[in-house]
Amino acid sequence: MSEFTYSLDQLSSVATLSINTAGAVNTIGQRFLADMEMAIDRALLDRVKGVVIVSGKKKSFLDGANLKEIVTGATPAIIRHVTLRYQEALASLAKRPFPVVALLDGQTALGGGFELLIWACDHVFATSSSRMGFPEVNVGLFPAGGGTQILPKLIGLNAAVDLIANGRVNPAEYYSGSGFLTICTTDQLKSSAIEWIESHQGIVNRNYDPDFQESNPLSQEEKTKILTAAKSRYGISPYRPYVLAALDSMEGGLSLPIDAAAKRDIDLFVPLFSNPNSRNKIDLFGLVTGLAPKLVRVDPFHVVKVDKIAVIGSGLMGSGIAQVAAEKGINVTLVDVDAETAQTAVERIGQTLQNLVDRGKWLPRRREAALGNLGWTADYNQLKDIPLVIECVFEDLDLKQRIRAKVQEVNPNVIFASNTSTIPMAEISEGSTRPEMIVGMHFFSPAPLMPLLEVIRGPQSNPAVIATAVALGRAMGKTVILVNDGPGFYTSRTFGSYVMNGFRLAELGIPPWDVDLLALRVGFPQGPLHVYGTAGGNVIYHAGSFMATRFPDRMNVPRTLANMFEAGYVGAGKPSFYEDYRKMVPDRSAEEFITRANGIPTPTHEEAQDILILGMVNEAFWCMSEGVLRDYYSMDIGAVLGIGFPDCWHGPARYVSLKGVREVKRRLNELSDKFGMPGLAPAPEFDLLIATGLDSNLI
Amino acid sequence: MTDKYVIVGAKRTPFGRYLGSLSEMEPLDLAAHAAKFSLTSQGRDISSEIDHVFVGNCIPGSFETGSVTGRQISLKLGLNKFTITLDTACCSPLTALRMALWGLKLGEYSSALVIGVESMSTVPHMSRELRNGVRIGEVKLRDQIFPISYPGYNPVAIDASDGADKHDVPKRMLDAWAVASHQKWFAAAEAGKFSEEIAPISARKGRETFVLSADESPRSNSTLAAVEQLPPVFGAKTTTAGNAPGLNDGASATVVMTEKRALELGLEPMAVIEEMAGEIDLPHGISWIPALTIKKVLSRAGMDLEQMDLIEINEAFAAMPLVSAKILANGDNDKWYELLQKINVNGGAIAMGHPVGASGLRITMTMMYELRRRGGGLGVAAICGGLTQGEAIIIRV
Repeated sequence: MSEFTYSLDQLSSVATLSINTAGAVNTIGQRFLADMEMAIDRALLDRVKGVVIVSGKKKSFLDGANLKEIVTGATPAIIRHVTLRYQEALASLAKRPFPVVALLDGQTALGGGFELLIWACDHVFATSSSRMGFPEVNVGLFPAGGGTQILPKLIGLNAAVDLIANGRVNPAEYYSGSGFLTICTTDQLKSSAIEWIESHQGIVNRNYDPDFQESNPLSQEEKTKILTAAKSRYGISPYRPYVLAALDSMEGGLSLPIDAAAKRDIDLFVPLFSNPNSRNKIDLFGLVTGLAPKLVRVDPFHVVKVDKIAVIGSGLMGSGIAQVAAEKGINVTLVDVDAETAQTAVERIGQTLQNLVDRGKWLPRRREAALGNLGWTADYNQLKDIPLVIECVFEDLDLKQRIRAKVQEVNPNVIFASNTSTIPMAEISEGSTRPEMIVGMHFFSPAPLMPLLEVIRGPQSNPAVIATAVALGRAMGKTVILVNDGPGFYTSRTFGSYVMNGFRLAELGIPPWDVDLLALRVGFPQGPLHVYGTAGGNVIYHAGSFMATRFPDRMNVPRTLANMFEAGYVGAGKPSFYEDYRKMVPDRSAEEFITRANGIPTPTHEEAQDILILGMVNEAFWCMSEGVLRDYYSMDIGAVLGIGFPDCWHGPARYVSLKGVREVKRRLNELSDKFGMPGLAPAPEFDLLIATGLDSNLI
Repeated sequence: MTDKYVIVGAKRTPFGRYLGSLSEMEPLDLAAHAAKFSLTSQGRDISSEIDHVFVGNCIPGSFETGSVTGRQISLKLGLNKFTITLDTACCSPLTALRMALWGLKLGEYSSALVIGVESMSTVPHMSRELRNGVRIGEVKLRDQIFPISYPGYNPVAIDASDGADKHDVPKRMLDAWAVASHQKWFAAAEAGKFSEEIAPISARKGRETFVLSADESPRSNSTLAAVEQLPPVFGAKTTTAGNAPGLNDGASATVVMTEKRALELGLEPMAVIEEMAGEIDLPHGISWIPALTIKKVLSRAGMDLEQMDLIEINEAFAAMPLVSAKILANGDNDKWYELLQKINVNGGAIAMGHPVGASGLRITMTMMYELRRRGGGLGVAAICGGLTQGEAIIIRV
């Protein structure tokens, strides 16, 4: 079957090109290219009055390159050839004498698909639920089919830099002001296209029109200034070569015509496929979209039907969890100490969702449906017929035990899921007559945005209870990893080492703001001390103190952290390391709390970077040694999706695979000894791997 | 002064994948190929100097006529010498070598050619029901290699897994060992190490004729995370397709002589065979029999394990090297980890394949060539066989 079907309507002389490639979404592969070239030639041969491009798939118009085809077996020469071929096909379609129009009916046009719209098409008609953008940097690439050259001319350079460097995908409305696209309803699509074609005979494609007026035109000087600023902002980490390549492409193409500029991009594009960091991103994308959703295997016969839940604790986390569940059609009762508190929380959720409606991200009826699933109470008797309760109260063992006892007393058959970040299930279950009903469901903040759920198997959790927690997490749209019990489980424990090592580096003489910059250089999305202020110093201090009691030999609370906590330098509205977190404006007054470590040298920048990333890596491997983690897939998925491990490294297991098991162990020993950091003493897992002779290929 | 017994030739075919490049080759030809190149290892053909031939093979059903297969091979080679064909399962070629030494020691002859051969792709399905005719009902065709097992006993995959369980070898370690086997093979292959032992073979499959010059099974892209996801087979706890070798085709051959004869012929002794031994244990003990056999051969030779520079323990499953090394380390974790670093340094059967009747000589020659590259030393190689027999050999280079 052709992947780009051509059909001509004899009456109107308008040809329809329908995209339908093998696979769940439409992608650009060798077969697609051949069919596309044939269809274009045919249209010319038939002397059509115009061409309408549509998709045969419900949700996908055209979603970029076929990565699988590229990753399995394509050589640099083939990638170069395919990219050039696609560019030539786009240029060839753009230069045809007839108008070219694309129709999107609630579908997505991503990457190369979006490029088809803005390069080859003269106009696009799309329904408001259609989405388009350039997510390439999320898979370690950049839009090399002319996207970096054309988009700035349509939406302005600033907006284009933001969209491309962050890999954003936007609803159709976002582009409606830029002239190439008209929003309409599904019924109007076809007729609008025909009308447009008839009234635009002889149109010259904007990319080849010398009179084309750029939106928001800027001088060459202004453009260079924007790109230079973008490079220093997005290019801070050398391990994100794809972002730099995108910006280089935009800069290099400023004064070139489209065909030449795009051709130049191929030289920036092809090397990315052999760059380890780009490969990490491509592999991670494959892992997160392929294996991750089914990694935890549960027996469907074990899953208890959960059509309603209660969330106890209506703080930021509880409200977030309630909001996500309600959105997904689960009936949620929000419980707090008094009805007013709970009601206020529900109202706050209503407001949050209203903002989404106002910004055009949600339809009003979606908000109504979600709010319809939300109730509140302060009466625990209401929990009698609820199959599952998520407890989200303050991180305090005694409090959590009391709530647990109260809930189990009212409803002994309830599945009690604790959303704790550090306290083991064994401790929460202490004294319970039904410990088998207790499981951990560790969500990440903010719950509506963070994709990960860490389900914790308590020492006595029943398989049906675990299966139900996993299934509920998936119903809530989360990627689930299943871990065994232990203080801080996997993610909090590993994340803790990152933040604590940030403080330790400050104590070793590196200015705290430099510590954060070094973290950004490694590829972290946020520096450890920056995190301290945004996540809230109280949470960090309490979690750190708890972990120190459970791992006294390996973990302690840095003196500086204690100083700041005691002085109320805890961020989240209070002072901390920054006056302005978004712009990273330092608050120098934090300096007085730093307790310098005596008699230990100050780490070099390279050593500091290694301490930050290897600290996390080592803790993840400790989790493997202790059986908290069961496999390397969960290790990498959890680290990137949950706790900000640099995605350009794919996760701790891939990092070790690339650096070599022996080398990582050697470096950990070296850093641990030199800087007196017992937390860096290598995990026994490294010895196990070295004994087997495995130095790479962990994942 | 007693004579020494030396290896003066050792070659093998590359090992083919199941139903792969060598699967349509006549197994007799595989054996003859390995033998021919073994006989010319030192640059000249020493066929005429061979006094006796021994051939080890595990599944005779894969030959057109599974009787005196050794004699059939000898005649193909133009070697009209007395030929013994024997079967001690995977131990076969090392048992054949040990038998060859008996004759050398008795003075019955002073040189022998030893061959091991297996063609698992050509093992036919079998039925005992057809000869008598079938009056009614279906005919059952048994597959002798799926699973590999013996009547009345568990499949060997289960015995291996139970051995790992008994000796507390975690599954991740079995899987890591398996992935490392592939990685070590690639490192060795990249360094050109296998060119000394492999005699490239011109093979036919379907209408194609081509030269196979490297083992076909190793995978460069396997990862521990992926291997860990594979499901256990045949009801075993930990044995999966990932931590076991495939079913393979291949042959290996060695020429042994008394040192005196070798020197008279102007041949360089490539290695001295210091000692050999066979050992048995309860029928399910295949994962640890290499350890017991190594202990026995060391004690017969009056040597210590510490004296060994290299160790080969055939990877019939990943459990064999790991369990056996743990026993050799007396359960001491540090010693175990240390010992493992000496074992199968260029990868093992999990990567390069395990044509069951050919592997015994393969581990011996892989170790011998590695010792030679290292400028000499001592090595011990051991292999387990079906229903728990073991063979071990100590060589000095």
